[in-house]
Amino acid sequence: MKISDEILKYHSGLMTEEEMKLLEKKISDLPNMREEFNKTKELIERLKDYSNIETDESYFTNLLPRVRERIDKRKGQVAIGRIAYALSISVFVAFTLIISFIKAPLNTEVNYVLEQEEIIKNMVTDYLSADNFVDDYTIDIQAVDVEDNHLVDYLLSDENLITELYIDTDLLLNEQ
Amino acid sequence: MNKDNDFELVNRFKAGDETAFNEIVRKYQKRIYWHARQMLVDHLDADEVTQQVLIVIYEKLHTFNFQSSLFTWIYRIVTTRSLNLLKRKNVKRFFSIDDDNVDFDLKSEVDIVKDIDNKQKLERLQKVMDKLPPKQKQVFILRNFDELSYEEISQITGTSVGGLKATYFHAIKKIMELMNNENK
Repeated sequence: MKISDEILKYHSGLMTEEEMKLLEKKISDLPNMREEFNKTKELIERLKDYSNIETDESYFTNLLPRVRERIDKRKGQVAIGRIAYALSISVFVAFTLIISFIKAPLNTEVNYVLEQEEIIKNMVTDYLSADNFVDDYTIDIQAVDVEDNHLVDYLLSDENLITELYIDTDLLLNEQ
Repeated sequence: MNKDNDFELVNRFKAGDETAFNEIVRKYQKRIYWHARQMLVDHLDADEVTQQVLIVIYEKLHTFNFQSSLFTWIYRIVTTRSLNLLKRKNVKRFFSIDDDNVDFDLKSEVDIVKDIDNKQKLERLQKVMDKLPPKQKQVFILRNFDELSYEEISQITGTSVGGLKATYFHAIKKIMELMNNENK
């Protein structure tokens, strides 16, 4: 028996109230239609009964402890993940700090400049006191015995410091 | 199902009362399992989805703010997880089309349905349900077995009531044809 779409539309709620009334009239008037309608209804009810299945209740009794166990495991994994994340961040920060310390001068910038000025002054004083001739107010840095090799490299490479050296030399010569 | 104390249960859980979660599990576990079971057929698949859903509930319940009912929210998680697993299985089946050794429809031996009559009943139903496309299957299960209204299903699936009615019509038509053929 082929079930008419009309009856299925009725059961699906696809009909308007007017259409439903028309179908209900057909059902009461036509025995074939009534039989078809009842059969469909019966099939739908039987389908509902298919979901009433007896099961092993122990599955549901044990479900919560199993889920709890998985949740605890996940919590542990999350904690480990967080620790690993924190550790990796710490290592990164430490590494960055170490790199920045290596690159930075050993002294702080202000102290370093003061030291440089002191050394430059001494260098110029020593240079002049040794009766060296000053022509263009420069000093052959490499000729002076400076223990701080790092400073020598720095003075030779940094144009500003060389300029400062000119000025300091100039000032010292004027003072003298 | 009494949905009235859901508000209290959620608030208790948010306040740190872990026993509230246990109560939620006891209240909804059967519906979650059976929805997943009807969607996925196999017990082990349904069991996995049920556990996943309960874990998601535990982990996300603190973000739940009653924009829908708890019941709707839970169903949304179950249906999404079940559909995703179905899709993954279909993709696996598609890519292993030449591999005769792999049977993705092989059912696990483990089952919570012990009685032979019930098993046969379930198998008959599953044979029919397997013929439905996932969306029709979802709507049919929610309407027919979970006995939800179209409005509730609409909140779960995000589909309009009109669209759901049409989907249910196609599903029930196909099921009736299959059942009639079976009875011949």
